[in-house]
Amino acid sequence: MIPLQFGDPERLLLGFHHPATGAARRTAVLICPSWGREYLRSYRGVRLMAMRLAEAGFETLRFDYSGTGDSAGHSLDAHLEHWLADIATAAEELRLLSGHQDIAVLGVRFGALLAEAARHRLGLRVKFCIHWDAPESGASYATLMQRLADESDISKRLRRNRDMQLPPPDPHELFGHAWPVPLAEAVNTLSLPSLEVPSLWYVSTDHAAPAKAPPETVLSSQEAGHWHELGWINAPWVPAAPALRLAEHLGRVLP
Amino acid sequence: MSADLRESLLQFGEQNRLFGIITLPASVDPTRPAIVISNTGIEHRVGPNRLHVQIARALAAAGYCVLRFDLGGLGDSDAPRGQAASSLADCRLALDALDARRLGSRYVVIGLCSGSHDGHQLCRVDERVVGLFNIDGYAYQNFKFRRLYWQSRFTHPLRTLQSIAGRIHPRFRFAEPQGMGAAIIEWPSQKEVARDYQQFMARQLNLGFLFTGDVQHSYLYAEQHYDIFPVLRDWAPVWFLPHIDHTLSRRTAREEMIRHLRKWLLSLSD
Repeated sequence: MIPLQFGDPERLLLGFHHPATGAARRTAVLICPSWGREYLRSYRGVRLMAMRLAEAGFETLRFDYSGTGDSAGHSLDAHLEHWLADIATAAEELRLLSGHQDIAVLGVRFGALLAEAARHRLGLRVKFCIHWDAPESGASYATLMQRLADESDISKRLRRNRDMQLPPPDPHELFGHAWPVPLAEAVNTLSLPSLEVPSLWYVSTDHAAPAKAPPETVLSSQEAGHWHELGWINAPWVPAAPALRLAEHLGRVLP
Repeated sequence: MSADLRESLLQFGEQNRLFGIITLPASVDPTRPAIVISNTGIEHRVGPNRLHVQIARALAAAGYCVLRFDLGGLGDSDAPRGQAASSLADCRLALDALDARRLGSRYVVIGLCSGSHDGHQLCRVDERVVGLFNIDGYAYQNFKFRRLYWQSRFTHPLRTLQSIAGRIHPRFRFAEPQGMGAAIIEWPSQKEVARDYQQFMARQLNLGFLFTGDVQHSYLYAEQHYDIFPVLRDWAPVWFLPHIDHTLSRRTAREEMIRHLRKWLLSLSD
């Protein structure tokens, strides 16, 4: 695992390159993480996924979008167009690091919507897409985050004394993370990944693939993701067996 | 991030198994201590709601060198091979790494929740630490706390009702976020901590404490820490911010906490 900073010097992105340790392949994998609480919850799981892919022979890169995680930028300056450009930048970085032109994108949750938008709007060249528990749309994802935030606030309100109540959240934040109104509006335009590119819908047992997905493109992770439950939102998501299963599957279907 | 700040990546420890990020001001003032922040609970080095990133950048803008890093087994750090992970050993390795790069020789440790425990334990054994700022750290109950606690239970009808209903059927229980208690730590006794504070004061170690309104099971009024540890009254500031939650989920909460922290830090160099 090699940590690195890359991209526009004004908006440096933090990434981790996992060089292939297994028999080398011609396809490299870019992992696009989720956002906010899901990003935090799945951080170690995404790292584990990258390690399993590297062991299966895939050069792999994972990174943080600008204004999130360890990448440069203030959270309140986060912008959808920046995030899509970040994905394109990361894909180019991965081509340079790996020497491979063929890129597969693994989008985790919200990351699947972003990867699809980068492909569709910026012409990102991708050979294969893996959508891990992709939400139906940007709007449905934001609605879920809002519901969880509301539930969390109600729970806190009830547990706190009257003189110890939290102030209402800032209109530019969602569930503890900056969510500027222009970003929220842009996210509402994101839609379910299309079927134009060969894809795999990797789904947890409590998540459904879209109805339009051909059955042969759907694979169950055989574990629950618990993305919709407040009680799990602070629990780490480290899908050890599903990560291994996915790496083995990709090893069979990708060169 | 301000154009005047730089962030560099740090791998350290045996086989470079530990990872962190150093945030540096345009020029490092060698008279100031360097700041070290380890994990809060099981979340990686960015902290809950990106709190640690905001702290690091705000303090670097005020002229401090700040390292935030992952303990072994968390985030991007690995536990030592063939040994049990030790947060104390990892914290000392972080100080060694900054020493070796001449980025510090005196350190202030900032910790939230489990991070405050790690910071306290580091102070006990490492004299390079000259300051400790704890958020929701060790807290102990006294008579006044218990009186306020039970008073609040009987004067909050909705919560009392929900509590009774929750005992009757689980569907009435509000989901408690998991994970906060995942890192199970045995906190020291009040007597041990009192003894530690005496030693810290003998070493002229600077202390600061902040308690949020989410630790109602252990902290309920502004003077509580002073009532439990009177020796701190003229030594260390204590802030009680009941309108803030444990993970500082509101932007305004993070900004307020950072204001107190920065003011406390700057007072150390006066």
